[in-house]
Amino acid sequence: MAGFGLHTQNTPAQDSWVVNVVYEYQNETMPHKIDINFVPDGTIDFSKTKKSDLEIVNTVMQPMITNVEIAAMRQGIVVDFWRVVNWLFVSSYWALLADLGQTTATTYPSLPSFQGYYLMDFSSPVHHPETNNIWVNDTLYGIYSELLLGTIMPLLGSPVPLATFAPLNETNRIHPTTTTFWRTYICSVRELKAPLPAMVSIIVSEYAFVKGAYGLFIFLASWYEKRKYRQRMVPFPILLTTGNVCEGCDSDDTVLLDACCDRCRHYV
Amino acid sequence: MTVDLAYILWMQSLSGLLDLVIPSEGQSLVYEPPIANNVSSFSLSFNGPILMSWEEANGRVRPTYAKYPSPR
Repeated sequence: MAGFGLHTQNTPAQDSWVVNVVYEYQNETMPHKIDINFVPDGTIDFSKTKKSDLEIVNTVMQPMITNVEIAAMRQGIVVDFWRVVNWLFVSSYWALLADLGQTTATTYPSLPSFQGYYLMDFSSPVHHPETNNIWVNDTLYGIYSELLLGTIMPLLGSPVPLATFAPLNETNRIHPTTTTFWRTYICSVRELKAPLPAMVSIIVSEYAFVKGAYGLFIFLASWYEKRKYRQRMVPFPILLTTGNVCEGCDSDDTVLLDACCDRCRHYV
Repeated sequence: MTVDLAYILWMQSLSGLLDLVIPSEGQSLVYEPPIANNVSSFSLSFNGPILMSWEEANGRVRPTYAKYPSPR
């Protein structure tokens, strides 16, 4: 899709705007692109849209068009599919601006080194008038509200209000408003602690590490000592069959290795 | 009816229309497939952002779309 559909000045605020239809056949790798041009009253601009292109798009979208037409027939109405599509896009467009407190559109030219979709030259805004805003222009408001009440709402099965829409004037219209974006974030500023709480914090946090390391050291040291002690012990059968003579007093009594003579306390 | 009240109706209908032509995940796919059988992907877009599209995924047609707006 990259590279398709870039119309930086494309906006329903202008007297002609474009919906991009991009489709790809199963046996092909490159997508096709067809532009459907609309004029502000919601009809297709056939001075810029080829009928052959529209026929191709209608063929591609035929299952959807048929289902919408069947849904409309059930409600006893006739639907012009592309007017509904135009209503969908144009309503979304002006509703988005209205939600942001705006009644006019601003577009931006693409940068000369443009390689992707959204790189715009924000230093050169193009301001469009609110002439084609459907909630400002009373003629367009009448056209789009008639489609809403006569086609869209019946198509959706929504109850159509008995009260009619009052015509637009200087007071009954969408006005630009100041819109505020609320942005929240966690604010934390580093600062020095008081000496005593700082010492307590350091001791408590360090204790966990020191105690762990100390415990490990004690464990390894005791394991080493036990291992060393076991290596020094004389096996029991050897004790029963051999004896040592004390070199200090020539005692014939059996003296253990690595021990002292019972008589003279000489270390054997 | 003032334009402010009309706006609310407008938004509800806009949301309903999107649900009708672009069924949400979990809803019955009334339009499956919504495009001709020999087409693998399709999109309607405006200035790049895609309002509605379908593409083949795991042998079935998957609707991909961005819904806007909600009633203010």
